[in-house]
Amino acid sequence: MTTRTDRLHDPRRPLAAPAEYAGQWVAWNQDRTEIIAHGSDVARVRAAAVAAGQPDALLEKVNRPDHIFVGHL
Amino acid sequence: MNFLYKAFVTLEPETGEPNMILRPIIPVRVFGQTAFGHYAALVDTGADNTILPKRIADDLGVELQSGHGPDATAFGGQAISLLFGDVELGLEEQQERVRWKTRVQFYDFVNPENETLILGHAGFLDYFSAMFDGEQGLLSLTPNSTLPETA
Repeated sequence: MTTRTDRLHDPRRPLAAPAEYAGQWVAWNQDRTEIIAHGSDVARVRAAAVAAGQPDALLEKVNRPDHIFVGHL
Repeated sequence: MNFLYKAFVTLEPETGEPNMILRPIIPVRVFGQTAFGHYAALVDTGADNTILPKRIADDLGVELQSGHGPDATAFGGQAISLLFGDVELGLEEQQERVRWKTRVQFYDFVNPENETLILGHAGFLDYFSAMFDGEQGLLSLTPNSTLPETA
């Protein structure tokens, strides 16, 4: 049986963005181990990643810890 | 195609204590007329449609149209006015890739802090057999026969 702790700490699981980026968009490098750009405007963050030579960077919106998602926009 | 859920720290609504949770958030490529982007998006079986921030449509050159029907309704009854546009979406996991043309919806978030991407039934889940494995924190997606076009 897989425990909750096992699930949470599966080393293959994508890294959570550091709390300092809460409320911002971040761009992860190709290995998704490093944040290469961040900011409030998703287009500018994508442009920064492209300028850094990483057009396929994964763009992620980092929710605040007090943002409990229940389906509202 | 298998995608591990992503871990997040949230505050428990009841106690305010920090808690680690998992969400089925997966990487999806969005191709517009002038550019493409690669985004982390929530797979949401409770969403009728696939909804992306309008800022992404503007950035990728997606031509948008207004709808003539009623607004969408979110949890709690909030009315949401949506725009419509054609994109290509793509998934990739190890050696497997799928890409398809579809019409999705866009929402102009007043506050960019609230922007999020929702992969709902129309445009996304309708084209896959999906298994949400809560024990493993793993989403398995298998394309079905209705997937419109794979490049």
